Amino acid sequence: MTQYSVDFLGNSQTFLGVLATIIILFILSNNSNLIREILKEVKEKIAKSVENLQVNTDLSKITKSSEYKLISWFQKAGEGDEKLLDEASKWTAIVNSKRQELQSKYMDVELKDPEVLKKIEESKEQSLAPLFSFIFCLVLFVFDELLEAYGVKYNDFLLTFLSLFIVVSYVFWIMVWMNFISYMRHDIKKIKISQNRSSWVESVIKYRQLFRRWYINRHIFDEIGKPREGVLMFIRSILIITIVGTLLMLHKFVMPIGTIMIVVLGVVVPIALMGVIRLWAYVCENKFTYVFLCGHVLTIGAISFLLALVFIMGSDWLDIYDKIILPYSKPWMKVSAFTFVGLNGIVLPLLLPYYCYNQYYRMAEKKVKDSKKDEDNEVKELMTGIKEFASKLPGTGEA
Amino acid sequence: MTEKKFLEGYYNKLNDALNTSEACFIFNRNRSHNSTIMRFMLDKSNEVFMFCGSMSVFRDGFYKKIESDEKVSDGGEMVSEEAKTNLSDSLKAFFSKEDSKLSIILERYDSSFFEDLIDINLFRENVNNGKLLIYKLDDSFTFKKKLSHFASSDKKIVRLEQDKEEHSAVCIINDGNMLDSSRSMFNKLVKVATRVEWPKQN
Repeated sequence: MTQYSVDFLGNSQTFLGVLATIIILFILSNNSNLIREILKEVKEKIAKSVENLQVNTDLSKITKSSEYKLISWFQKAGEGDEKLLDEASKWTAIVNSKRQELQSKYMDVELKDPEVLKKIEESKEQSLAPLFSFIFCLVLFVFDELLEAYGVKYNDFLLTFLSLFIVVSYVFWIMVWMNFISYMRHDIKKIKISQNRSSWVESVIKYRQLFRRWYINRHIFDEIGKPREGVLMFIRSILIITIVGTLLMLHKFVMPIGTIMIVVLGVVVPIALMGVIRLWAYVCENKFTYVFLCGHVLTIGAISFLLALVFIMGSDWLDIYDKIILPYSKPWMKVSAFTFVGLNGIVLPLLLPYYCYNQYYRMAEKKVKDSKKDEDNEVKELMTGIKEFASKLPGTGEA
Repeated sequence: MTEKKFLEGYYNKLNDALNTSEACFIFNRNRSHNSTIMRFMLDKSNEVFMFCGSMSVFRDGFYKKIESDEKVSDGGEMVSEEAKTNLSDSLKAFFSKEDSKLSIILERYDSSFFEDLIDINLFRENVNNGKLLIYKLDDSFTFKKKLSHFASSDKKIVRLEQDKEEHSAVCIINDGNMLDSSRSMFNKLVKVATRVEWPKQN
């Protein structure tokens, strides 16, 4: 393994400091937060635009037509052939019912759906992403100092840890922002989780419990009767003893470093998998909070640390350091780190909520166009029958 | 007496229509018809859903207007009393059914609505035991003025208003599509409506 002194940030320290200073402003929850103020203006503008959209659901082309007025008059007069009177009632009922259908269909546009705009405005990602990016900047500063101070002796571990920290941060935030978009789209488009997906989510949640609490699915025992707690404890104990015993055997006789890798990966992979599953399973619930963020900063740090250990200890036969970490460290580590800070700290907290506001407006606009189409179709469909019936009424010549 | 017979005849017409399996459309000309349809719905159903202006059909003022209705000749007062009593009896019988529920969404709300109900004690009791659910729509929902009032039940009976001032409407019986349309509208309105509790001073 090659060892040499690493000048990580170099002349870019000042630039990173400036970025960190700007990012701090985007963490605040008051008027000093520029992103929040910009997005507030965007929200007000879009809310006003949606207010001005007129939904087409009143079928006025029918109700203001002379034929419909004649039918309505005939019905209210109540004199004449009873069959004609009943049919007049039928036509007025059909028109009113179709109008009700249209109004029900486009109710959410009529309501202007303030809840959606409020959810976008109050989404935590806008302030937590900059907070994470600020902590990320601090980590970069710390590692820059450590690499300068201990560079030659420990640079392999430090560089590996930092690389993993950057990569895992990217993965985590890509998932969080994708979840944000999905969550907002769900509300904007009123997408319901399909029946199939819903049952998939249910299965995923069931298996997530397996990782989380090591809960043996009681359904396995449905045929043989409910197991007692004692039986479950026994089965769990046997499993633990088997796993530990296998690892000890592997460590002693087969691959000492490999055993450590199995232990580390056996801890890291389920935790990471559980995080992905939780995000995927709870796509319709936004549970992003400050506690969530703090916990995940520590978790990302711990995962990076453990994986770095594995890669370094297994360097003889994994050779990840020379083949991947070293080439990455120059220049891509700095580029990717700064890109992350810029994107996650400044660009995405502004751009993605703006995108959601815009989606909301586009959706409302589309629904208004659709309502016009639907109304025109209903008018076309009903007017033929209304005209035909109106011509049968007394005083119109045919009756 | 003629008008009373006419109302009974109207009730029987609704009943005959329900007993066929064909869709029927029966015009509701005035307030006395409105009250009769309400009575019919309560007699035949276990669940009734309404979107109305101020639940006037359940209030005394409505029946005073029946007396002065244009079409009601001599004996108007007796007809309005009879209509009120019949509706009140139907309400009592409805609430005494085990799983009955009456849900009302009000377009406008004022606590004074509860002061002239045709049977205040019956309403109070059933609001408190959860069989009568009353909701109101906020004034910020300006679109509510465009919506027609309606009532529907779990027995394919729908009353759909055409004219809010004249109370003219059509009673639609045995039409599943129109029932679904009413229920869908009611379900959407109830999500944005606010539940109303019984006012403390009444």
